[in-house]
Amino acid sequence: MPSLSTSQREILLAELGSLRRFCRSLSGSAADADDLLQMTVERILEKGMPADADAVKWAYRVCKNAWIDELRSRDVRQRYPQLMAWDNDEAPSAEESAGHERALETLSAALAKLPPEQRLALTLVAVEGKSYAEAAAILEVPVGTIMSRIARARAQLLKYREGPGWD
Amino acid sequence: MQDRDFELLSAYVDGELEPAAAAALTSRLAQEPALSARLAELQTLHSELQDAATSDDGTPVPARIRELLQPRPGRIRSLPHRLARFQGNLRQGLAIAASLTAVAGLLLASQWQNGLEGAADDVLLAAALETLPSRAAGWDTLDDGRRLRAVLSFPNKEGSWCREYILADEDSAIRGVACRDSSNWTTRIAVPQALLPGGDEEAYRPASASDSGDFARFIDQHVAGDVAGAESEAGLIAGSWQ
Repeated sequence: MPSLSTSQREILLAELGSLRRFCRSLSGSAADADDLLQMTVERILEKGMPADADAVKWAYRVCKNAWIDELRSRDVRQRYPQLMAWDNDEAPSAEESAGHERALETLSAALAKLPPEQRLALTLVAVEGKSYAEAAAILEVPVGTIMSRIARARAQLLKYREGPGWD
Repeated sequence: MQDRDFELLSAYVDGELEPAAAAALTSRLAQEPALSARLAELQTLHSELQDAATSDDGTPVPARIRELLQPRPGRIRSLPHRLARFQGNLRQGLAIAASLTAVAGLLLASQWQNGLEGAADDVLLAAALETLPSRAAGWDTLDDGRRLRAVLSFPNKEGSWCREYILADEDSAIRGVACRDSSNWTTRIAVPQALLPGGDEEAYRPASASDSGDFARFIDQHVAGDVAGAESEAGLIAGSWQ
């Protein structure tokens, strides 16, 4: 696959701020977001990009894959906590989250509980302002799937906020 | 509430309903308080999501990441990630880096520390950094035969400008950052460079992982804005970096 052209590099440079926000919404912290962003850029540089690819959609797709890979590797680490003790203090417990006073922190905690595919769809549309069609192209699923994933994500977030009595 | 109605409301919030469907839903909203209440909740949630997205700390994208995309072959490669979360990947990356360095067989570290100590008095380097534009490839030759490639220019938190550069002689090379103090350029950090395998003289990387980390940390701690573009940098050179 060809390496990046000058125009692709320029497009990606211009998109870094949005990509970083996307990373932050996915990872839940600024420091983790920068690591995810760096991993995304390094993967793009290593593997290249087709000359006719939409650079922005391509970058979001690579970022999505990097995040999912990280989730998988974290899942493996959590199965072997004795080997990865440093990982234990990453995610706040449900009790800690419930105690947070700031609404944004509560929202971030709720986002973290969403299934990855719902979180990706919701973040692309509600945070990044992508259309359903753009999100569908990035996630490589039908538009109807995006619509239902976002609705389910929102239902989960409201349910989380309002407690088990919500319909 | 039925799932289908919730999906319609969700798509309505996103502006994704066809006009006819949106009109039908608007009509129902006027007649169904429960539907209207749920829409209000979704709109509030939508606003909160957007607020959360814009509540970052306002810091620019780290220079180490922007630099990766600069169109030049001599950029720093595979800088270490900061978090322990990524230590697994990092360890693997460093193992590869160590291997590459060994294969290259060209560890260019000789006396770079002495060079750093005397950097403030390196008149030739200072003069070159004052006047030469950054370049993606190739070298400028100083009067004493050393080769210099000014890599990029960025503003620092002290309100002055810094320049990243690669300085090489016949058997060693350093990557450094010099900042302009009053009218002089003083090197603040310099790390030895190793030639990547393959005989490409343009491709350097930090000779060790600790060097790479030190260099990345220095830039992160000092950068205060975007890297100057070619036109902007030309203006700075013409105006003596004021």
